[in-house]
Amino acid sequence: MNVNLESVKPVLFDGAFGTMLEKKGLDFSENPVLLNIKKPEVVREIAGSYADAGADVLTTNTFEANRYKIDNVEEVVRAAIDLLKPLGKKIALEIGPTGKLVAPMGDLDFDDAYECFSEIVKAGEGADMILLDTFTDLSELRAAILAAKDHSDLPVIASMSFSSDGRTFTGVSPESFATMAEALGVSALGVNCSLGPQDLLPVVEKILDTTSLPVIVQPNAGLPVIENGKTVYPVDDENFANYGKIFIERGATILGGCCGTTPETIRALRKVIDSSHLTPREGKKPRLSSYTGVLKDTAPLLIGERINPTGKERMKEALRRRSYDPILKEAVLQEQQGAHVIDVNLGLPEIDEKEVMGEVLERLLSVTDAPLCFDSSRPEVLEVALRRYPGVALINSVNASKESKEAILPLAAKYGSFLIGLTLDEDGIPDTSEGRVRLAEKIIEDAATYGIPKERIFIDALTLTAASAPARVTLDTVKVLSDKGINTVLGVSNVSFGLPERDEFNALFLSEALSKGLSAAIIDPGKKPMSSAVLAHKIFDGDSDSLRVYSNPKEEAVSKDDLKSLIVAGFDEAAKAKTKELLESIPPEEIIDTYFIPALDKVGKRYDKGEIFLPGLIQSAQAVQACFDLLRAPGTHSGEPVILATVKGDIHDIGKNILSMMLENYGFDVIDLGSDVEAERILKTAKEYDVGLIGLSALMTTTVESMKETITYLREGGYKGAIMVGGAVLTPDYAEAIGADYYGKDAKEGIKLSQEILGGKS
Amino acid sequence: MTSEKLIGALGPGKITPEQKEKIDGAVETLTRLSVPRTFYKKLKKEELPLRGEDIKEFLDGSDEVYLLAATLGQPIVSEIKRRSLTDLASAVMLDTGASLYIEEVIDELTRQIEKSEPRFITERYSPGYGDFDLLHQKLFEKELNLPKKLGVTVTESGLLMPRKSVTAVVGVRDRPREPLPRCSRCRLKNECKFGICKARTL
Repeated sequence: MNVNLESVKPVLFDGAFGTMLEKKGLDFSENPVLLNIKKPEVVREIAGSYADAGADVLTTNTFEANRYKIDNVEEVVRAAIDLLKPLGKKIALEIGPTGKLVAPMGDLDFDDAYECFSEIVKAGEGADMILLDTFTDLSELRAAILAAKDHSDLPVIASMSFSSDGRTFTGVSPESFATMAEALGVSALGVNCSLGPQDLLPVVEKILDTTSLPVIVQPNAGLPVIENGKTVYPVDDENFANYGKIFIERGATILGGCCGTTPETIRALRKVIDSSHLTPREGKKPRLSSYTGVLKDTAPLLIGERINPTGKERMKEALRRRSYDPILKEAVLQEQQGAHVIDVNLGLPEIDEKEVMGEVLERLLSVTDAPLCFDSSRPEVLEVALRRYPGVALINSVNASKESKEAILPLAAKYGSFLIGLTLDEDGIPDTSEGRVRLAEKIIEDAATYGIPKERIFIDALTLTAASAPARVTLDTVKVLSDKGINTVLGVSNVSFGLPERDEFNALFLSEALSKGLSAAIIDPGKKPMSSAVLAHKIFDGDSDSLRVYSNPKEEAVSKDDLKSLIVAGFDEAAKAKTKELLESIPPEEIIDTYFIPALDKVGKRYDKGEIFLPGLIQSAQAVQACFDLLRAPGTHSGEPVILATVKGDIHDIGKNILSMMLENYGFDVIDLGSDVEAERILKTAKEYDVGLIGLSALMTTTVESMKETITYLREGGYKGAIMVGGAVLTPDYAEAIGADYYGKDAKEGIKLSQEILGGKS
Repeated sequence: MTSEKLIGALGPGKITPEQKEKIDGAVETLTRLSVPRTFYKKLKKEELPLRGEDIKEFLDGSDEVYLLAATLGQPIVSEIKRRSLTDLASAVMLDTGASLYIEEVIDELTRQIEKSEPRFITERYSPGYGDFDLLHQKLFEKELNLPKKLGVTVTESGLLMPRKSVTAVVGVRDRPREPLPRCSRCRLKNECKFGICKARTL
């Protein structure tokens, strides 16, 4: 590109198109992108006025030229570019958002978004660069960047719109945006629209502090106000241009205008630009990031290991049934317990790991702000996750073998990911630290040929079972690497395999590794000895925050009350402690019959009478649920299976979740399929688990239709069991009309019905 | 939003001091994580293709209408989801509180409109009330440019995303009008314990 985004002079884009249309008094009720075909002279005139005003780059009139808004995408995009060609300026193909949110926030599929943007990119090959602007959803922007990079070699500029709270509507921070966009290899990034220059300044500064790339700023001419029925923008051209100068002084290099700006604004900016020089900027460290945030420097970096089905029946079952809440819960809890990154390992032979990874990832996005670490031995599973994840993830792992490097390094390069590099190769694990260091250096060297800097690599010195191999080799390797300024990581708990008192042993090993300079640890953050080891390490380094945390431990709940009244009062920690105590003398079944069920019945009756309010009822159920985990081997269910689901098209699930928990407490084997569930999946699960009762929930009038369709599908598909429905918009009559067998007005009634239908207390 | 209001909405029954503390916490979280945003526009009634007998009746005598929209934003919705995994009781408190809060937000917007409008305005009427189909949300999305103005989008089944967003129609009239029995065509008219739909923002 001649207008070099990295040149010594700032680059000037044009101003608003819509504002100019309005000024011309043109009444065009259709999508303005159709003007490219229907009134090309108008488009050319506006573009020409920006060219005359001194813009280096003209933007095509294609903001909404996508398949969700118009039918003839290719024709419109081609025409828009051809129109600008005679003006002799550089042309930026503008691509705006679809107006839909990508799942899980909205109902647009990531791949559909990708296809939509790909179509525009392919049609726009005559442009000089691609400008993705006004995005607010980081997932949608990711789809657009990937579409642009996959289908063209043009430089890509990514620009998002921020609100006055400093985030986009969907909660994206300037830092998480800049980090992800840079990792994906855009040529420049920045902000446009929504705010005036003054309000955008703090956002721009955050972006400048995060990225090493050129930064683009295209503000509105202030926040619009309505005067006499007309939209007026309060920032005048001179003022706007003065801010342009400030942006350049702070380090931005590409300027332009958005809503409310005109050729006069651009003319004023031209003057400022011609009299200014670029401000030199420092290079920035690559970082891990999520949808909402970026990981700051943390030593040690704690990677939560609990999302891994190995040896965990409950998690295996959740994966097999695709009923993912137990997995999501582990993500939330580990984050609360101090994990900075959540490792996601879904490897189970009998499942389609690729498909399940996609489904779990989408759900994880709506519950955790921690960056993720994708952990799979299969590159195609990693690719599914890396492509979709709207952040910068960690890959677990690559090793020094040729096969592994050839499969994994290109992925890390394309998606800008961080890597865990295992010090092993075709010949196995070296016995000596020298051997492991050599493999580490080989991985770093080869990664560099793919453009992956060593800052993005954590070398795993490999923890072996202390009982069979000297852990000293591992610790020495950590020391040597860390002295060389190389990041290190260890999966800690392997060291104690086959030994008693594993938690304590693990913590001692972790302490020792930290003292050798370990930068990251893969651990269970819920294990107290581990978090104590980390805290102690930080306290030794003089960290006063850690000292404060260590000095004020949370009190363990103890109580002299009897279990039944603890449940009724909803004290889950105390109830758990009491259950533990009782277990020493009473068998689990008896605890259930003597304490849990009578307590739940009592709470239910009091709720019916209006003596306790809804959260009280739920708290008691939660207390029982917490105690149950102590009684039964996780993942074993003796009760009758019941499927619960919120039907396709509906996303409300709190009522269903309440019923789900309560049914479990009464001994049912609940298969909770979540919300927005396809009828096909319900039927398949019902057949697979020979289910005698399906509970469906719908909360909106429109989705009751979907409930009816689901019931018809289940019946036509040969489901012979009972169907129970519930939800605010249903009535007994209406439930009958849509073909349901039973109607439950609330969770209490749902339990009663389930007991009647499936017999006994299951 | 106050704890007292939330307690009232969560139903009758005694609450313990611990529960009161939890409710106070929920109200604090609610105000901290919500980013209330509103937008509205005035249009001629005939410009809008509004389907349904109820809305016709509701707007009888109005030649102009306001379209209103309000949202609490994504973060509070995400927090409700998180809590429903780890602490369902507090998720229910937040969920109910958010419904009350968004009503407060759009109530305030309606009051502002009432103040600035020289003529009389009607009460609010939202898609999903009576036979005013939820798919009208698409119309609001387009007319108010909801994705750009509020970050709100509409799903294929007519739900607003993020949840805890509402839209409504307000009519403009020359004279005030008798309140209408607006539940007459509602399927739930016998069962509904709220009486007015605006208590049922889900």
